[in-house]
Amino acid sequence: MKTSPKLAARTRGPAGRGGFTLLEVLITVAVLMVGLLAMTSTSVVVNSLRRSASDRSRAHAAVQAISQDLLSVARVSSEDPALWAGQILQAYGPEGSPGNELPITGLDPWTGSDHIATVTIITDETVTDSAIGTDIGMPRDLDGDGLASNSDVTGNASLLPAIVDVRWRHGGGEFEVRQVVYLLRF
Amino acid sequence: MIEVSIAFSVMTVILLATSAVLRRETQGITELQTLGQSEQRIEGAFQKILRTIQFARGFSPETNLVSTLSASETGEVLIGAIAGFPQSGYLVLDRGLENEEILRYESHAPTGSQLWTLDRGVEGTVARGHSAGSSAIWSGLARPIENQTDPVPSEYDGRTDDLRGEIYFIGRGTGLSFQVPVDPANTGSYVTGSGPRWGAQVSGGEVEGAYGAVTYIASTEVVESQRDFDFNEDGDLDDTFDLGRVVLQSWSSDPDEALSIGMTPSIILQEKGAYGSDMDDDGYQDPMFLWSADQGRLRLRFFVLAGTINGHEVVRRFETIIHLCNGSAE
Repeated sequence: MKTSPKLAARTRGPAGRGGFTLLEVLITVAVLMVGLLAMTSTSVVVNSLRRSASDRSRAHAAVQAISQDLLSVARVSSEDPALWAGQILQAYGPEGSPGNELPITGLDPWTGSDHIATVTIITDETVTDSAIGTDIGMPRDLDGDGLASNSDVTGNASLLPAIVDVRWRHGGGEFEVRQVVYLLRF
Repeated sequence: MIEVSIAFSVMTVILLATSAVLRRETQGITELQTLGQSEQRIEGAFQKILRTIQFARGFSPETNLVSTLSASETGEVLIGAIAGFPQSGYLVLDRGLENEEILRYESHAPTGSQLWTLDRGVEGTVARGHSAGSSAIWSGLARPIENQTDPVPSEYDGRTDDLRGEIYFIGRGTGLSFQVPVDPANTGSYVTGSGPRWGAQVSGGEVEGAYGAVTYIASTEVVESQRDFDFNEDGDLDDTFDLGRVVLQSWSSDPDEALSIGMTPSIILQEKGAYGSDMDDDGYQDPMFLWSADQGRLRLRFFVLAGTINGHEVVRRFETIIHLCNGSAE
C-alpha cells in the first residue's frame, strides 16, 4: 500500500524530520500515568505497613501491661489462701472489674467480637494444654497438695496461670498475641 | 512544529507532575518513617524502664518540715526524711491547706535532710510561711488517694482513667524514685543477712544507699497558636506545652557520682504549669507516672509529639504498666 504524500508529510514532517504522532503521545502519557499511580500507591503501602507494625507494637504493649497488672493484683491480694485467688478473680475474672474482656484503644477487634484483650485465669488443675490451646504444662498442681485433681482451686490456690490474649484486625487479616503469666501467692 | 510544541508541552507537564508527586511521596514516606521511629523509641523506652526498675522498690517521698520555714527563706529547708527525694525537684508544702505552696529546690545536702536553693511560690502558688511539722511531698510523685469513693475535690488533684477504672490521685506524676538490689563488692549476692542490699548504679558503679529516679525533664516549649495545632484537643489554641524527655537520674552521698541518662528523645508533651493535666480532652487527667505503692504498680502514660502527616502534627498516647516485684520501700 502506498502512503499518500499528505499523510507522509504529517507523520514524518517536512524533509524527513521526526515528530510525535498523537498515538505516541497518548501511549507515553498512559505509561507515565501508570507510573504516577504506582508511585502514589507507594505511600499507601508504606502507611499500611507502618500501621501494621504500630498495631502489633500496641498489641504487645497491651499484653505486657495486662500481665504486669495481673502481677500487681496478685501482690495486693490477701495472703490468706482462702481469699487470694478469689480477689484476683474479682479483678480479672468474668464477673470482675475490669473483667476478663478488655477494649484496647487504637486496635480493631476481630469480626464478631466487641473486645480486644481476653484474660483467662486457670483454676482447674485437671484441664489439659490441648483444651486451652496453650503449652503451659497442664494438668498440674495449683494448690500445693501434690496432686492435679482439683477442678476448682479458687479457695486454696498457691499458683495461678493466667493467659492474656490480644486479638486485633488489620487490613483484612486477623492477628493474635498470647502471653502466659504465672501468679504466685507469697 | 505545532505538533512538536504540543508534545513538548505535554511532556513538560507530565515531568513536572511526576516531580511533584515524587516529592510529595518522598515527604510522605519520610513522615511515616519518623512516626514509626517515634513509636519504636517510646516502646523501646518502656522496655528500658521496665528492665531498670522491675526489681526495684519504689519510694513515695513524703515527710514533714523539721523547722519553721518563713515566706522569705530561699536558702534551705530542713525536712524530716530525704529518702527518695531527687537531687532537684519540686516540693509541695501544706498540701490542701490555705497556705499550700510549691517550691523548687536546686539540690540537696549530700548527707542530712536539707534541700538547698529554693525558688518559692512557683507553679501558680504564693510563698507562705510554714510551721514545723507541715507536710512536705515531692510533687513528682502521683499516687492514688485512699478514699476512691466520691472524694471531695480538696482531697485529690485529678481523676484518671485506668485499665482498672477511675482512679483519684494527688501529685503531678513526673517521676518515681527507687532503689535496686546492688552488689558493689561483686560478692555474687545482692542479699545480706537482713535482706537485699539496696542502692543504685551511679557513675562510679553500684553504690549501697544510692538512689535512682526516672523523671520527666522539660527541654523546650511549644505554643499551640504558633504551631497552629491544638495539641490537647480542647478546642482552642491557647495552651502552651513543655516538650521534654524521661531521664534516669541516680545519686549518692558523693555529688560527683551523680548520673543522668536519657531514656527517651525530647518528644513527650506536658501542659506547661499543669503537669499531669488532661492531654486528650477525654475528661480525665493524664499523669505520666502513677505509683500505687501497695501494689508495686507503676503506670506510665506518655503523650508524644510523634511527627507530622501532610504537615499536620501527630500526638500519640502510649501507656504501659510495670510491676515492681520488690514493691514499695515503706
